[in-house]
Amino acid sequence: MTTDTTETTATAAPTEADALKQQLVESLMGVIGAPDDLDTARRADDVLHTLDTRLAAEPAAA
Amino acid sequence: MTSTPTLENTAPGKTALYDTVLHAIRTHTQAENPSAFLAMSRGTSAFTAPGLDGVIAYRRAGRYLVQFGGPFAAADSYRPLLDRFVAHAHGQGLRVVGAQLQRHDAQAYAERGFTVNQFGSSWVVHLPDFTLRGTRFMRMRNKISRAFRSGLQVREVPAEDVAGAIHEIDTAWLGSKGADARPLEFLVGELGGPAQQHRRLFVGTIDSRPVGYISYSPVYGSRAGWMHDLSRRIPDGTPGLMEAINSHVIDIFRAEGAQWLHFGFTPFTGLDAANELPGHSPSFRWLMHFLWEQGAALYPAQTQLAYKEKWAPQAPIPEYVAFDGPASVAAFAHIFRACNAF
Repeated sequence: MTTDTTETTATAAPTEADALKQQLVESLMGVIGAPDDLDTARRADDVLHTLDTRLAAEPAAA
Repeated sequence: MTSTPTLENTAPGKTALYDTVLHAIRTHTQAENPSAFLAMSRGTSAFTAPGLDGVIAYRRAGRYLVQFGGPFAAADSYRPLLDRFVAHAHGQGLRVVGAQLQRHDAQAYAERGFTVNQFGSSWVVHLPDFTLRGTRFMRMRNKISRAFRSGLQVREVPAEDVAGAIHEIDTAWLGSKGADARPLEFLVGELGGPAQQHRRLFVGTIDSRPVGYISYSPVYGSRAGWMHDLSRRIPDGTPGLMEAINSHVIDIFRAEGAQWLHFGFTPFTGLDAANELPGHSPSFRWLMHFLWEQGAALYPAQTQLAYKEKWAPQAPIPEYVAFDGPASVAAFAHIFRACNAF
């Protein structure tokens, strides 16, 4: 199969959503490590809600 | 006024609570929760309210009341009981997070303003249609044959008669999981206690030495039958040990006319966007997929599903988590804390 379009094979740069996903996983680990720490819990939930907003704007990315 | 004792020190006929919880999970089956019998576990609390017909099963973990399933309640008591439970939690400065809600529950919770997401799925086999014949099961048949040729014998026994054997298997099993391993509770079955009379325990022995066991709990509702519940084996044992025990038990259940063998809930499995409800958290949905792929340290979902899929289960039954407000990482983590995972 041939094509006359230019193929782009470079790895896509991490997006803001990718960075938030990484933060979300780290936040979960943080809560598990310090389950009674209110600041850790609040920061974790802030990450989740920020990512929710981001993904809601790009539903296909979820 | 509400009541929230545990079943720790109750027994049939000894206190009203035991009978209340048992009656509720047997009678109020509209959600078809195959794991409902977990509400009978020791250490699980039961919330009731005067004038309302039903119970809510839960455990406290940190700042959360972690609920198992939805209310096991009559239709006209379901929402009022949930409202009372949420008020009970908030009155103590606590939040509610629900786990293993069925679709029926998930819709009710979403309507009440909870954020609801798929958490995983439960798996079930229809016993009258079940057969180990065919090429699909050839490998498992061979493993089962090897286990029995190794001298495996399977017996149904009263738990109290084999406490030493169970302890021996549990100790060896836990030791194989690493120095930090902890036995899970709450959303995992147990042996013993007043509810033991309703469970069935099958122990495998080789040369009279206990090598593994599977406990089955009753399931009520339209898919009534048995739940393949707590199962453990000695490490480095004969291949196919658990498959051989379960195969033997399937023959018994089929002969008894049982219709359904449930394999229970596995987090992060059977995820499907079509199962999500309006208002779900897309981040949490992503997190469930991530934990399916890379979350074995939190829960070995892939290993557990591999065992369940050996039995050719029907389409997965989605189970849900419900957050009292927006989705919450901390609330989600506390489900596992309530299970003694950390």
